[in-house]
Formats: sequence, structure tokens, C-alpha cells
Amino acid sequence: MSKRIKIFVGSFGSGKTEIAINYSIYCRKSYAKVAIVDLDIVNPYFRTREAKDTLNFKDIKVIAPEGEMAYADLPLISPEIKGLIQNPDYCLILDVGGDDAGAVVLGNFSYFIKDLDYEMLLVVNSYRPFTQSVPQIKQMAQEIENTSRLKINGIVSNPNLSSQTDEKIIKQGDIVIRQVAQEMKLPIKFLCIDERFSQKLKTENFKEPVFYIKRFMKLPWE
Amino acid sequence: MGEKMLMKGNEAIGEAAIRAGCHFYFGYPITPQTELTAYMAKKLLKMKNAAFVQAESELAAISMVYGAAATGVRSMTSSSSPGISLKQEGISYIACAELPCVIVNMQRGGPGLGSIQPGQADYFQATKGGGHGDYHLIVLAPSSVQELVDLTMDAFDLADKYTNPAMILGDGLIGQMMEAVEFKERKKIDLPDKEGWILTGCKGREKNYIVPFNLDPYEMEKLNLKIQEKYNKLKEKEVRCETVNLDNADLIIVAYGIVARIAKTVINNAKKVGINIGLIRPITLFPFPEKIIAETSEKVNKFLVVEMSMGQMLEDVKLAVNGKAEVNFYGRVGGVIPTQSEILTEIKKYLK
Repeated sequence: MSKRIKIFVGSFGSGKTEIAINYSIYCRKSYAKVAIVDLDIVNPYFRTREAKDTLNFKDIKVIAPEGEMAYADLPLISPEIKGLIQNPDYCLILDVGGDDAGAVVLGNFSYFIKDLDYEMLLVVNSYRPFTQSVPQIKQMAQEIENTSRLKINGIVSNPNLSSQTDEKIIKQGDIVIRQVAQEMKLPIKFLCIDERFSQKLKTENFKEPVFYIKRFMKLPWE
Repeated sequence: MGEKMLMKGNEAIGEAAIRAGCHFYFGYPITPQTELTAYMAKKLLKMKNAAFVQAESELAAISMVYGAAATGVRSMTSSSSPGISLKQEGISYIACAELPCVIVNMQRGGPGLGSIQPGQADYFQATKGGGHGDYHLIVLAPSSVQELVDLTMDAFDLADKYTNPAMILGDGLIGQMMEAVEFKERKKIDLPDKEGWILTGCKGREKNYIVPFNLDPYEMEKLNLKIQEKYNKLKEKEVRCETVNLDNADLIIVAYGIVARIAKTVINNAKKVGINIGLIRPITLFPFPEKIIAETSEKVNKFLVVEMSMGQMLEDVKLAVNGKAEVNFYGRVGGVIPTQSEILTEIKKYLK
């Protein structure tokens, strides 16, 4: 299996949190110890910490602000994170906040991460504002690399319009992301598709490996 | 057909405003609406004949809107609850000076600095004036990200049409959640000419004055009556609301914004246990849809108002019902969102 430390970066609202949560559950199948770190100091709502109970139940360690601070939008970084980065027993998933602003926190840890067994994956949803074209996505990638002081090693394609997604939307949105991957000479690690399509779509129809996503951040009427 | 995008509510307001011709934004960041300020910065700073200013305070931001509106351009500011309180003096001035502009309030839990989770406890402030003096804002309450887009564009038209400030009253959740949106081509509508009053330099013409006062009390009273006349017109012509399942309902929920979204799920869940629930969702909070509520109270004798407040819109519903039906209330506050099951339990209590 791939690298011990997996870092999900990307633009604001690209789907990093849902993917990081799903990926930590997937990693738990092959690693005895898995931890996910909520490094998001940009978003006030819909953060990894909201899935904490579910993840703890699955024996996945969640590092996020505790108590009333869990509801704050303050730059709270636990000292435990550095320990986990350096602990070879842990498969570690870092859910980083959006854009270059969110990646600032990661830059703080870059010195400890850069020589370790890590991969940094750029999550892209080509239906989000500011990441709709090849130049926009490349610029976003550059800005994140600059602030995080780490290299992006792969792309996670996540083209979707939430509840209005269909097969055509996925395929069309994936085209521009594949173009980015080609120009940046990066592999597409996987293509994310909502699990509600798992019976309806043939994975052979897609060029990349498909990773089905279960949504954890639900709205109050869902 | 426009293109579809996946947007956060706050971003969607920004894009809608720009497409509605608002190229002047003045704001000060506050959670949970900061994405709107950030979006305007990203977009407007790259545009010609546009301005984005992160003001030194909310007071400064609303005063900049006042100034921009006086020149006839479309302008906007946005904030969340405590920041909107700071803007009230300026909003009262703008209403008195009869200038069009749009103010966005993505409400959070209050009072005070409160919490950063969603709330609806600024209803009184938004609909009853907020600042000093006899004035109202045109208040629009969206319940989806697409509606945020449409109502933001409408807000600019209504503000221009009635030369009155308009407010988008959302909450933190609608600002933060993401939904697919489409920017459709809009029909051009006839709006009053601004040439007669805008301040653009008076070379070759008489001076225009825009002031939020008149020292002669009789003239000041006349101005009040003139402004009041606009509110009467708004009540007559611009009321909007959505109704669901009003016929043969056992009980009517009155809710706006995201609470109405939850209420729709409650309606479906209630149907499964044989309870027939209707919904009245005010889209304009001022002017308030009192007529439809009054009419419905002739047919259905139980109402439940659900809000993320301690009961503010409740008072307007009671006034509209005017004793003809039983009006009950369920509310959660401080940033807590009422759940579907809580609301259904509450309904069952009243239908015993």
C-alpha cells in the first residue's frame, strides 16, 4: 500500500473533508493504527470533527479541537499532531483547510514532513468557482505548494454538483481534471463518486480507479 | 440556460450581486459570512470601474455603501449579527435618504457575540427597523442556495424600484452549505431613472442634495409620510411566500429560511404516520405575507411557528391570525438547529 502520511489539500469546498474521512476508513482496513487530523482553521462548519463519534467507533483516532473550542473558528493546533507525524506506527491522514490560506498550517509542519514517507494529494472539483479551468487549477496547486512548502504528488478527481450530480456531470467534469494531471505530469490517484451511484455506474466506464464516497456532513433536512 | 456550479451560499450571493451589476462592495469580515467578503475581494479587485474595500469597521463599511449609493451605482455590504448591529445607524440614514442598496445578514447565534453557529434571532432587527426612526427594509429570506442567487438579484431591483435599502436575511448554515446553482439570463425590467437625484458632479446642472434630515419638523413629517407610502405599496405589490399542502391540513407550520427546509421533511415524515401538515414559508419577511396567513386561519385552526429564535416572527403570525386559530411555537436558539423529530414530537403534542 501507498505512503504512511496522506495529505489532502485543495481549494475551498473541493471535498477534502468528506474524502479524508472516507479515506481514513478505507486505510483502517490495512493499518492497525489510523489517525485523522482536522487541520481546517478556515471553515466554521462542516469539518472532520463533526464525524468524530463515527470515526472513533471505527477505531480511528481524530485530532481536532475539543469541547466548546470544537465550535470555534480559531487556529487551534494540537501538540499531538507533531507526535503523530513522527510516529511510524500510525497511518496518518491530514485534512487541510481550503486554498493557500488553509495550507498555511501545513507549512508549519513541512519541516517534519518533507523527509518522511508522505504523499500530498490535490482534491479538485471542477464545478467549484476558481477551479473550473486548467490554468485556474494549476494556479491553485502552485499557491498551495508555495504556502505548504510541500510537493503535490497526485490528484484526486472529485467532479460533482452535490445532489444534482449524474454520470454526464462526472465525466464532463473529469475531462478538465485529467488535462491538469497531464500538464502537471501527476497521476490521478482516484476518481470520487458518491456511493449512491455504486449500483448504477460501471467502473469500467472510467479511466481512473473509482473510490466511492459516503457523505458524512449531512444537512438538517436530509 | 446558464452554467451550473457548486457553490457555498456566501459565494453564490457574491456572484449573483456582481451579475446584477453590483460592482461596489464594502465590508468587514465576520464568521459565518466571511466567504462573501473574500469572494468579492477575489472578483472585484480584478474588474475595471469596480471597488472592493475591506473597511476599518462595520460603521465605515455601511457609510461607504451610503456614499456609493448616492452616486447611483449598485452597492452592497454584508455581515453577521453583531456586525449588522453596528451598521444600524448607517442603515437608518440610508433609509431616510431614500437610497437603494443591499445589505446581507448571515445570522449567527445571539445575543452579544453569541456563537458562530446559525440563528434567526435578528428577525425583529431586520423587519421592524433595526435602527432609529420609522423605517423598514425590504427583507428577503432565502431557503436554498439557488434562491439566494435569485433573491440577491431581486433585492437590487426592489431596492432601485422603491429607493429603499433591501436586506438578504440568511443564516450561517445557508451561507456555508454547498448546492448546485445556475445563473440564468434574467429579463430586463423597467426601473426608475436615477438621473434626477444622483450625485455625479453638478457641472452644467442644478445641484442635487442627498441628506438624511430635515430640520423643519413639518417637512420631516412629510418625508416620513412619503416613506410610509412606499411601505404601503410594498405590502400591496411585493409580498412573496411559498405554500405547501394548505388544503385539509391538520396543522400549519409557519417557518422561513432553512427551518422551512426542515419543515418540508417533517411534512413527509408526518404523512407516513397519518398526519397532514401544511407549510407557509414567508419569502419576504417585510412585507410580511399576512393575508395568506389570515385566510388560512379561517380554514385550519392550529398553527405552529418554528424559528431559530425565542419567538419573533411568531408575533407577526399572531397578528395575522388575529385570534382565529391557536398559534403555538417551537424554537431553538444560540446556534442550535431544530431537528425534524423534535418538530414532529411538538406537532403531535398539539394534535392530541
